[in-house]
Amino acid sequence: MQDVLIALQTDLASGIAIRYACQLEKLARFNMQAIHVPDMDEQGHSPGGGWVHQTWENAVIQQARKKIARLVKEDLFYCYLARAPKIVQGEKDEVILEEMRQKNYDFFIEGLLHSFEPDRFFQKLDSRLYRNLTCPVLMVKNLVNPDRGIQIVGTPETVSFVLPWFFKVLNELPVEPDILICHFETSLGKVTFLENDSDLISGIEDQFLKQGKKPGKIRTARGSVDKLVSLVRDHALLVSVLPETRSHMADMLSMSPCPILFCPEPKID
Amino acid sequence: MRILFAADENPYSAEALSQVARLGENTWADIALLGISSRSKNMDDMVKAYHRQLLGYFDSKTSPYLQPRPEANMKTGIQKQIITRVRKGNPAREILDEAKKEDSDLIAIGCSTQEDYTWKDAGNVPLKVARDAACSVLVIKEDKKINKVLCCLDHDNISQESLEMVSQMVTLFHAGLDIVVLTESDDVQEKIENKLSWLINYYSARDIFPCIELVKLASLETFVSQQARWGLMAMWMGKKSILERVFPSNKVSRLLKANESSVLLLR
Repeated sequence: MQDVLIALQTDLASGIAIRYACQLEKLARFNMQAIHVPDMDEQGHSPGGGWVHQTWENAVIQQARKKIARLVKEDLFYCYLARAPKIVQGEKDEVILEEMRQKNYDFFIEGLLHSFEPDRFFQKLDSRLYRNLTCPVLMVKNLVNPDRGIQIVGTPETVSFVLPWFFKVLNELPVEPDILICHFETSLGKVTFLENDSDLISGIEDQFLKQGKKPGKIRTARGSVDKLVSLVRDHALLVSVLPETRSHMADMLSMSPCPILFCPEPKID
Repeated sequence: MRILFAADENPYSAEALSQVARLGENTWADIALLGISSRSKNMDDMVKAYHRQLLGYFDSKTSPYLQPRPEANMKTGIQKQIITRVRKGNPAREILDEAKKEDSDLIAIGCSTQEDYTWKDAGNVPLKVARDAACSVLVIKEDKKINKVLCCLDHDNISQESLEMVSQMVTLFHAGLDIVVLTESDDVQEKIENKLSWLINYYSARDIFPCIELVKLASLETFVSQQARWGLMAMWMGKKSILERVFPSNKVSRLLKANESSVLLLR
C-alpha cells in the first residue's frame, strides 16, 4: 500500500484537497499522513523571550492542532488518516521536504485554488518544495467528478517519463488512462489532430503491457497553448512531468482547472 | 415558481421555447407565454402555435401541464398552469409590465446571435428587459448549446432561490458548473472561503461538482470575453453586487455582448 503525505492548512484549498484525496483513496488504497505547518506570523509577534515565548508557541500549536482536527473532522468523515495529523513548526517547504526525506512517501498531496491569473501556479512550480521533491506531487485545484477519467499529458520527449511514476503510484486505479501528446505551435488558430508516431505509441503500449494494462485513447495534437487547453479541462486527474515554468506545457496546465499529478524527471528504479 | 416566456414571431423565440419547456418541466413552474410585437397582425395565431409547441414537449402521462382525459380514469395530481397573453406596444415595456403583473420569478427571452443579440426589427429588447427587470432574466442565445454554466459569485448576496435556479440549469442541460470568485488581491478572505465551502457542500450533495476559479476584478472583462465555451453565464446582479463596480455603466449590455453564451441574471 502506498504511503501518502498530505499538507493541510486551515483554508479552502486544503478542504478541497482532502476531499479529493478521500475520493482517490477509495479507488487506490493508500495510507495517508497529514502534516500542518502553522503560520506563526499570522499569530502576531511573540510577546517575549524564554518561557513566555515557549508558552506562546505552545498555545499557537495547540490552536493549530484544534483547527486542523476540525478540518479533518468536517471533511474526512468518510475517509481516514493513518495517524493523527503532524503539527510541525518551521518554514513550510523545508518542513515538508524533511518529512519526505525521513519517511520516503510515495507521493505528496496539496491544494491550490485554480486561478485565471497563473502567478500562484508558477510560484508553486518554482518553489523549493516542488523543485526538490523526489516523488510526484498531486496538486488539487478542484473537487471533480471521479468518473471523468484520467489523462496523461506530455510532449513526445516527456510522455514516456511519466508512465513509470503512474504505474508506481496509481497502478491500483481501475482505469485505462487516455494519453495526449502535445506539439505546441503558437501560430496555429485551432487544434489539429496528427497521426500518432507509431514508434512512440508502441513504446507506450509496451510499458502498459508489462503492467498487465492497456492505455485508453491515445491522441497527438498540435496547436497553440490557448487552443490545446480545451483538451485538458475535463478530467478527474491529469498526469504530467513537472514542467519548467514558462514552458508551453506549464502555461497550458496553469489554465486547466483539473487536479494534476506532477512527476519529477525521471529517476526511478 | 413562475416563468414568463416573452416571444416574438422569429425562429430564435421558437428555439428558446424548447429550453423553457425543459426548465418548466424540471421546476414544475407556472408558465406564462407572452406573444409580443409592435406590428404583427398574426401574434394571436403565433401564441397559439407556441402553446401547442410547448405542450408537445411534455409526456402526457407525467406532465403537470396537461389535464388527464376523463376517459383515462386517472387521479389528478399537481396541476400547473400555462397561460397565454398577447400584448402590443413597446416590447420591453410590455414584457416588464406583464412580469410585474404576474409576479414572475424568471423572464425567459430568446435572441438572435446574428444581429448583436437583439430582436429582429425591434432592437435591444432582451437587453432592456435584462437591465430593467426586477426579477431574474434568462437571455437564451440562438444556436448555443449549453454544456457549461458559469456562475459569477457575488459574495454579499446569494439567495437560496438563485442557487436552486443555477442547480436547475446544470441539471437541466446536463452541464458542468464553474463558479468564478472575484477577488481584489491574491488572497481570498476567510468569509468567502467559508461561503465557497458551503457551496461545494450544497452542490456536491446534488452530485454537481463545481469547478472553482479565482479571477481578479481587474481581469474580469478579459476573462468574460474569453469564455465562449460555457454556453450559459449566470451572474448575481443585485444592488449590492460586486459586479456593479466592475460594469458600472451599461453593465448588462457589456455582459450580453462580451461573450457568446446565454446569460442568466439572478436577482
